[in-house]
Amino acid sequence: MSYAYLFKYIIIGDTGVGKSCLLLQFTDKRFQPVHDLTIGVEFGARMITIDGKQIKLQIWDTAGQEAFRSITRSYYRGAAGALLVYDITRRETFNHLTTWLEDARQHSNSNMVIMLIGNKSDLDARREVKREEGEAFAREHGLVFMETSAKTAANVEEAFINTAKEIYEKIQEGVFDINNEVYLNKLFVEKIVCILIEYLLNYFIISKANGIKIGPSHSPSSPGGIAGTGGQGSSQGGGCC
Amino acid sequence: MLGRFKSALMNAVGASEMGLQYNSDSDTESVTDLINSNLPIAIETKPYSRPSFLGLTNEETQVSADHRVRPIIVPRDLSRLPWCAGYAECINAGKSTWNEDQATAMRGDLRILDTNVTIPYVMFSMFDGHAGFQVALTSRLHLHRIILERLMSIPGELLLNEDKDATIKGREMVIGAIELAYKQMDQIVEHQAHRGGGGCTALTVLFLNGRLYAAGAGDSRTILVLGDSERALTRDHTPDSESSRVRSLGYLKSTELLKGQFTPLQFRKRHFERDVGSAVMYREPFMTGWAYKILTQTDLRLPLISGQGKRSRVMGTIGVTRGFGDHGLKAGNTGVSIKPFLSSQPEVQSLDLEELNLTERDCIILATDGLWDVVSDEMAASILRKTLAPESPSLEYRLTMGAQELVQGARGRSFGREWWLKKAQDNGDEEVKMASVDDISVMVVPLYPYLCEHRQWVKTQQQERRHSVSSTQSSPEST
Ligand SMILES: Nc1nc2c(ncn2[C@@H]2O[C@H](COP(=O)(O)OP(=O)(O)O)[C@@H](O)[C@H]2O)c(=O)[nH]1
Ligand SMILES: [Mg+2]
Repeated sequence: MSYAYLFKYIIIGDTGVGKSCLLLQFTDKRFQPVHDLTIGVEFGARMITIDGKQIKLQIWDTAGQEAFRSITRSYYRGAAGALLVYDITRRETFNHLTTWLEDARQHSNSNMVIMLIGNKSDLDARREVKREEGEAFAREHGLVFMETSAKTAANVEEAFINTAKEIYEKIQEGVFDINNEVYLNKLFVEKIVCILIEYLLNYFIISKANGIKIGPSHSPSSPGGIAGTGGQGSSQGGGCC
Repeated sequence: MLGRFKSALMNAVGASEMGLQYNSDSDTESVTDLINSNLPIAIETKPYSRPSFLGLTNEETQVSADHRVRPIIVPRDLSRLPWCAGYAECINAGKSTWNEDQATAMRGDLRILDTNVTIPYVMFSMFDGHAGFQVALTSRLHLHRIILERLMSIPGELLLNEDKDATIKGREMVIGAIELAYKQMDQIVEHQAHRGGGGCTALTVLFLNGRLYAAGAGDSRTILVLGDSERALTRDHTPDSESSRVRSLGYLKSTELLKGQFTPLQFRKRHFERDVGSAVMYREPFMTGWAYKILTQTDLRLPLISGQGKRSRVMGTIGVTRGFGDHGLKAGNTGVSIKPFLSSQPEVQSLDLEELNLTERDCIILATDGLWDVVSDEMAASILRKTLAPESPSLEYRLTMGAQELVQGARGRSFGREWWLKKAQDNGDEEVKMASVDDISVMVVPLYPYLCEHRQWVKTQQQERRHSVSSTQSSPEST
């Protein structure tokens, strides 16, 4: 599947606020009441269309515990968007937003779009954080704000897609430098280079081996053909960074 | 007979990672023929993938190879590894497109062919590939199966016999099985090598009949973290550490293997044309001390082994002296083959777990040199102890958290394009040192759960024996 842009997102916020559930709802359209504790980082992906253009969202779901904080910090790199999530039924998750925001600002590109999300809006009866408080926090820090429910799916699509629209606008305005940022369709470029190298290599081997065909791997992402030329592939990868 | 062998094997292996094709499916071929044939079995070349217990989709495999971020990948489902053993990995900083480390785990019941007994086993292996991902991948997919085949052919009587006075003990048969399996794995890799060179190191940890076996070939390492102490269970095989073996071989077969290009002698320093005729310090391969000799023209040849420690090389080319693969490897510019100096033989240690006074937090750590290059055994053990200490979350989580901490401890943080480690020192200062830019893989295997399972198994065996003695008419075929 080809796409015009690849946007990397990172989902951050305290543990238990519903980060993994939001991702699952957005990518799989389902809700899983018991979700395992996230230790490392999990990935999700989905294609969306903005302004007639195919955009791939690559979403990094992180672990919220303090113990994993230093590892999480290393995952901001290259992110074009962040979803900063709190739980409207637990005030302390709202109180921790400032530290999360500091982390995000310090370790990411200054142009990263941050969406503030008050999750679990279906649990209105147990609400501890007023909607207005979320709005005020967002206004004060220049964030976009939404209340969502990973359970009922309310506003989940919108949260992810509005963030993408915001990023897309920034690109149109030229705020992001296309050549220097990862949201550029880097993987796509890499794939083309891989296919090319593989093609050349196979051509070379086949002609050298005098008709003995060495089966090319069919998937374009398969590295089979570039095994011996890892250096080239990697310098390509590194070069875009 | 073969049919029975194969289906027993399939049961044991779970067949998920098998892509093997037997040469013949004939029933007339006996098991011993198959076992002793040593015929390399044709093996399919598989596309790149990460360890199956990670459960990564293609998409996730792509993302995991992000050289700028180097995400630390842990299993999504911790129960995929026996006893929720911990695992974490991260890719190199750009030296190769893919992560060339691999790992695998397997548990099952070993059916001994000549008796009716089955013995539970658990096996973990780790590989560090070089010059391509293929050899490590092939080893991940096949080594365990090959080891199992070897184990199954050990006569049950011998395998179970750990009697003090026996001339051949069960463990010696198990060690022999692992050694032969490693040799066969290397042959299979050679057979497959038309795809190009490359090689890998190997570590295997086997739990069988109450014992732990730790095998290693290459510079990956397994350590035991026992209470407040730790020690290596495998030895690193580098040109430096194996200098004697490699140079002895070159010394004895100089014309055939060194082709007049290299000298097996070791000199205190590099000598030049002008030194010929003068007395210089040197040692022959079997020597531990030093002696004098008059330098001749042939002594000016390139040293068979150069450099020291991690930087040592055989023929100026390869820095690891055991493992699988590298069959076509030639010394740069000379065309001299290096493979004869590389060995696929593992060194295997075996420990009786009952003798170790194990507690819940005792573990072994298997890791590739991505970890060990920058983290000492002692540091690794201390990082692990610290992560395992708290009561919550439960130990199943903390084993993987420990593996993740270890990978993080070697990967550090990126500053621009460089990776650095920052450590607070005792005096409050921060020490900054280079982080590992290699692929890093770490497995943390708890020892206590196996001991519990084994004790339970022994108890059940005893009960069954008593049972079968009391009811003599029960037939062994009835199951
Ligand atoms: N009622 C309700 N529960 C939710 C919602 N989102 C998540 N949860 C629950 O909150 C708990 C934590 O969710 P999880 O996604 O694992 O949180 P994370 O630690 O931030 O990834 C789980 O038990 C979910 O079932 C939501 O929108 N509504
Ligand atoms: Mg989560």
